[in-house]
Amino acid sequence: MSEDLDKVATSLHNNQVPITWATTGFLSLKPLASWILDLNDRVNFLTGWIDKGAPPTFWISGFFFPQAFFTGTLQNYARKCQIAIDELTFEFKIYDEIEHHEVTEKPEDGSFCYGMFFEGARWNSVTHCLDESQPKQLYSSGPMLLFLPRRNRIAPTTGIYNCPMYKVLTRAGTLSTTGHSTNFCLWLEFPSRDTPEKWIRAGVAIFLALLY
Amino acid sequence: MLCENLMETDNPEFRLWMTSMPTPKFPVSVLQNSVKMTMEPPAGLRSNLLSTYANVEDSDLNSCKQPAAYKKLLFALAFFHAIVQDRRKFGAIGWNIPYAFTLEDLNCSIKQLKLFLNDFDEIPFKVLRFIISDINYGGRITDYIDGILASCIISRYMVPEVINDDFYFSDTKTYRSIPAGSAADYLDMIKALPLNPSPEAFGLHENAEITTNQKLTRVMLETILSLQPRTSGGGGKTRDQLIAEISQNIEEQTPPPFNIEAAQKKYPTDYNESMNTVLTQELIRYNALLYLMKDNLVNV
Repeated sequence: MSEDLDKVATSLHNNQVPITWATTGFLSLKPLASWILDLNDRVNFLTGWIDKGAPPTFWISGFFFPQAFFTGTLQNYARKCQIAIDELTFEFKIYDEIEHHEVTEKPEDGSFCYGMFFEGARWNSVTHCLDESQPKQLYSSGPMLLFLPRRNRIAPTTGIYNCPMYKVLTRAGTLSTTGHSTNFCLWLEFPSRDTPEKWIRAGVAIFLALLY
Repeated sequence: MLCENLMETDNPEFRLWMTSMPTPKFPVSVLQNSVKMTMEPPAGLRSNLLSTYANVEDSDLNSCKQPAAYKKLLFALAFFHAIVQDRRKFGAIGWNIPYAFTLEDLNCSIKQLKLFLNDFDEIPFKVLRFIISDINYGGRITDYIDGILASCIISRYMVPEVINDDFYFSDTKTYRSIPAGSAADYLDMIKALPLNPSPEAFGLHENAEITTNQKLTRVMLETILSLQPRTSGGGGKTRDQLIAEISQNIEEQTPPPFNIEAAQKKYPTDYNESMNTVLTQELIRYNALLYLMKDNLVNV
């Protein structure tokens, strides 16, 4: 058995994802047992896509490289409307009164996405605003979002919190050659009655995957 | 190496002082033969502030042209310093990257603060905030989202209101801007602060404490796991048997690789449907992993 294989064996023994798998695979903090379940969920998501066509709502956590998916959404709109892609940015529409599986139709433009988790705050679907976390609830589900491309959009400066989206909880990432971070995906906007400073100091961010 | 050339005639009082960043490459033999000292910022806001004020003299406090403002702002600065250093313990929710802010960052900021107060009658808060959070401390910050946080933290403390006696550094009013007094007054106030600051002092939710403790526990258990002997002694299954079982189990759970050609036929590259390209690229990435796993699991 080669040294590399021996390392794989040791990792399996310790319920850890072998390093070669982790570097070839998607960014993840999960131990082996839940990592393999996650892998199956991801493969099922893509198999469903292959078999039945692109789904009406996308499980955004299933992507290896979600940044490409966002660019794809923008590019579809750019080509449909004959607009330069760099004039486009996203507007985020929040759908918190409907479950993602109840959506049967694709949106006219943009993409429906679900599968995000807040840390440091929670989404209040009664006030439709960002709110304090419940005690002892470390992470909470984010609402389904419509990523809607808009031309020359002027981002609101008040009443929202610019929330960073990361793949995993470690937040820090390294810059890859494509200019994308290995962890940070993009900024989202969530309505808030409190000042953005409150949420910045509370370290509020949204994630595509948790620890287990 | 220097040590090998040491003679008996050398002065027995000879001592070599070395400083190093924590690095796994540090030679073990040198480490084992040395007396080791580590420099770590004191844990907790109270001990952090205490260590700052242990070096503050009344003569310094009163040598500024605007002594009252200097005392107030010095405490704000010391509080900022304690907050940014102690936020590290919360892990990624504190700072994306755990920066090693040092006493020099603080001392430099204090000197500049005094300079500005001596030279200007009106306190240039905006300039102070920028110099402290973007230059002195910001010089260490490599993740720009952390930069946003640093500016946000300083803008909570380095404000005109901090000159007032009823200014509070946290919402629960535990940390207060006391009337400008002597160094001893400040020390007395700091000593009365809670030993263990609640996450609220940092603007964090109380849940952050749970996350921190969970992380500490996990690190400890992982260390214990890594110390496990690799040969099992007596009774039960051997390590090799266990590994064979686990790898078979994982192999059964590993989905087969995608048929990319078939998928590409169904979803060809299309000018009007970029999602086809997104899908194909995803399949290629997942297949790289699935083939590697398959290969490894057969051979383990």
